[in-house]
Amino acid sequence: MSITSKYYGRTKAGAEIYQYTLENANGMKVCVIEYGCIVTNVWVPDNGGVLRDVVLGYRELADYEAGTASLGSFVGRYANRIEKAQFTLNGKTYYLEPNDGANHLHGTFGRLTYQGSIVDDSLVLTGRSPDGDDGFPGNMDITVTYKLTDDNALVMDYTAVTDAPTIINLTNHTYFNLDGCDSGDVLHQELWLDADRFTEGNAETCPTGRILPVRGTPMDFTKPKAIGRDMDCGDEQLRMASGYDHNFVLNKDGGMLALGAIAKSPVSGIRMEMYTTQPGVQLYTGNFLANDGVPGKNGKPHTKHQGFCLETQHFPCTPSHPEFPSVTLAPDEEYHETTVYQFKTE
Amino acid sequence: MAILHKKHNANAGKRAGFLAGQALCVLVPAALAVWYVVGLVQKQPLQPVLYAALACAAVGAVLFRVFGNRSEILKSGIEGEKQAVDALKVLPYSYHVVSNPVYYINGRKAELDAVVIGKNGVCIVETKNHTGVITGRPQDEWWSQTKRRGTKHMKNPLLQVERQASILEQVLREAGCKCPVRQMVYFASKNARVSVRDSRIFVGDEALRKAIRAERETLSPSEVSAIVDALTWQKEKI
Repeated sequence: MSITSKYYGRTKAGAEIYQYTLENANGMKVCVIEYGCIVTNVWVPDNGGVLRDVVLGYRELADYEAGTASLGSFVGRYANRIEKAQFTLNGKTYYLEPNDGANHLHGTFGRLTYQGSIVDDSLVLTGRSPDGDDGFPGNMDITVTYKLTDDNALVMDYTAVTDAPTIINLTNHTYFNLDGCDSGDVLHQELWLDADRFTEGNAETCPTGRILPVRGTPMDFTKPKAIGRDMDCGDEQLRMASGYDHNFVLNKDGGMLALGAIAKSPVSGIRMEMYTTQPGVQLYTGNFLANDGVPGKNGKPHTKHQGFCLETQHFPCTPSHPEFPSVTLAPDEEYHETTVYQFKTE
Repeated sequence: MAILHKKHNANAGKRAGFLAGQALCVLVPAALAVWYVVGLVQKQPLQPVLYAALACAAVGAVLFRVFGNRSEILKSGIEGEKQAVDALKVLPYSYHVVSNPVYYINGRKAELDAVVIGKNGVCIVETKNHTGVITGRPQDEWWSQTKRRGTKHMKNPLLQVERQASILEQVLREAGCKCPVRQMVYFASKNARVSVRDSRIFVGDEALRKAIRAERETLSPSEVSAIVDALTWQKEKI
């Protein structure tokens, strides 16, 4: 395993950004930049031994700053939505930036500049979100660690501490396309999710509070199926979100690192296994990628369903649903979640 | 606030020398050119003066750049050392900070960036104002520094501070003072991504001060006073 670095560019705000390349003994490579801890490239060998870049991205730093689709980005303080952009904690109501209609979506962590350092065989990125950032209480120190193992596993580890009670939900918003980032849509790629239930969404994809079984619905990925197989079946949930943009409740004990999903492509033979400690995963099928307006790595605009995201997370809008697993973080606690994407070939 | 003992910064003198060198690189060819032009106006052009002016301009252009680079490096170092002093002088009143001391012993010389003296001993603080991604191992002679224009090598400051510590320990022994000397390397720039793991390396001001204060206080005020005298009044001994 080796980690190398190079200068990547300067942000509009003037911060120097470096890019780190993690490479393992099999030639698999992962590139990460300090801006938003963004995963810009994941080069994986296919079943013919040819390396394919299986994540969507842009050509340069200015594009990552201009893009709106969170490509490859680390996401927080609260990944996914907070209904009506407000929450109440310990009797006090906090008002957030409404950046997705009337709701708050994702937050600013994907646009922060982090400082990278190479610690043994890991890349460690650290950053700080000040008290009041986007309306959230507490200064928060964040550490994101990326590690590439020799069995082709990209390990993403997040820790955070705060100096005041707050809420937190961190994820990574990488769009995968297992045939390569510029190979068309992902609808033929197969997905299995270890999830018997999902959180029903409303018209703004915020959970209604009902946790429904997937059996007999297009949400059923308990047996592998092509991502696009049921996409146009007329299901109300899929119609409202223009595809999949739903939180699946993983069948596992909370906090344990466990297999949550397997995706594979019959074309490239690349198989990706996703392991996580988090209780849920948002399956997003790039329903609005075409609206991004910033060209992708090949200079052409992204197209609808060109990639899919497996955003491991606590459930969306948890502050509105106290019955969901807690997302609060106290000053004497440390937030710690891990997600692993492991690549194989068939 | 700690008590500050400010010494002359040798790097400031060196930088002044490079700036003077840059000035000469411009002035000498300019003077020769003026001489030639005057001769031309008086219809007595001196060809050798023209050739000398051109030669001086060519050499001067190269030297101007070399001196400029050296001067910029020294300027960056001086700024880093100033930042270190600013970070250290916030230590409590019981601490003494000696900036830019030079020590000689048995033919060896050590030019230090800062020495902190307190009831918990003596700390050498070697300051680096490098930016970019810094990688290497504590035992390597050279580390890598990756910046916008590529990767270059830098001397391992841990080895530098080890050598300084050995000289300082000798100076203290000679003065009859017995106390531990701790080594610290402080990266002053916020743009430094230091990827070398060693407990002697510090990137933030607060971490540096915390480490200085962390050690148990074992020296009496009179012992501290003797060490301060030894390290602020040492005469040249070559």
